[in-house]
Amino acid sequence: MSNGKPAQNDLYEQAIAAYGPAIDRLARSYEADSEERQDLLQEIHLALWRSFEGFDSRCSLRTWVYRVAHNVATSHVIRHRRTNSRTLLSLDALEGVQDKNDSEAAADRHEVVQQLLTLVQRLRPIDRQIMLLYLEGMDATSIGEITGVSPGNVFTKMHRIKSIIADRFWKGGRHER
Amino acid sequence: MSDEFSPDPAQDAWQNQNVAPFHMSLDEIRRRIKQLDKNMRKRKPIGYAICLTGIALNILSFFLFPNLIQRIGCVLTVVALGYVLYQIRLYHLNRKEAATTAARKGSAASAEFYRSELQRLRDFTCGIWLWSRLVIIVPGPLVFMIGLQIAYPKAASIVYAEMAFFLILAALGIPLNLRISRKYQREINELESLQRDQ
Repeated sequence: MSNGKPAQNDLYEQAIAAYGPAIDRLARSYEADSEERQDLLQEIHLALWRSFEGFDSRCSLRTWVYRVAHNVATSHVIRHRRTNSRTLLSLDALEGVQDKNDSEAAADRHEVVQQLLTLVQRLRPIDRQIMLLYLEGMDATSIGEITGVSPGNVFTKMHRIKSIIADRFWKGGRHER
Repeated sequence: MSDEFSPDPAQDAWQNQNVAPFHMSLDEIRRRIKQLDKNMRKRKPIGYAICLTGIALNILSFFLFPNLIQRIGCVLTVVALGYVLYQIRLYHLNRKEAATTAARKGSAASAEFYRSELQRLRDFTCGIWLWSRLVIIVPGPLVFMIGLQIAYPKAASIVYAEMAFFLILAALGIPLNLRISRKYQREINELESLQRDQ
């Protein structure tokens, strides 16, 4: 095994400095169990470091990091499909699902995050990715580039995400917008 | 921030959540990769253990039962389980390759990667993979039970019941596998339509 070229090490450190917190959030949304989450995070970090051996600058560092992280996380979801009996839903299906605490708008930021996590963890991988990237503040073009979903479809899904979020969190009007 | 939408408070809450930062030094990464490669070579899925136990039991039965037909049944079952072992190995090799691809290729968009994963899962539950598994697995235990019925005619009714149970189980496996494969196919179709422009 190689010790890693300087460029590979530099790229890895650069990526973690810029996107480390986003990767932590991503892992949190893919794995609820804290021990499993540590394994997933480790897997993502190892995959990223390995991937930079072949980084060709044809896409931005951000796109590369998110693609690798999401692909590893998708593999993780597929691997755990048999042990996780919960059916994963599409955004369309999720729109029709009523949650227990739906009637009450989220009271504080912590609660909003918890509810967002619950929502995201119920989604199928591709919808989950789009929602996560939206929550990370990316635009439709960037999301399309990372996921490979056409910009038009990303745009539609982003509208759906906005409407789900609005329905579940701000409908009561208690939260300051 | 998103340029098509006004800033969403949910985005703000999400991006400012408290998450314990995860850190690995470069030395630790190298050490873990070395360890991971070693573990990957050692790791065997549960299917291997089931098939190997079945093979061991059938070899034991081959020597325990003197009846020729029963012995033929044992040999057929061992061959069938060997084939299933081969299929599981192939399936996991493909999975390992896909995982390596995910780890090495940031050039592959997520939808493309997910689609290839779904295709691999779908293929395992339909077509040649499914039918060859059934055609090879079913005869062995049936021949063994016919031999059992010949060796112990008094227990014929129990043997027939066992045969019927086994056949029903095998028959149920067909729609179950096909249903799973259709579910994967639907997801693949949805993904393909998402990749195309509206």
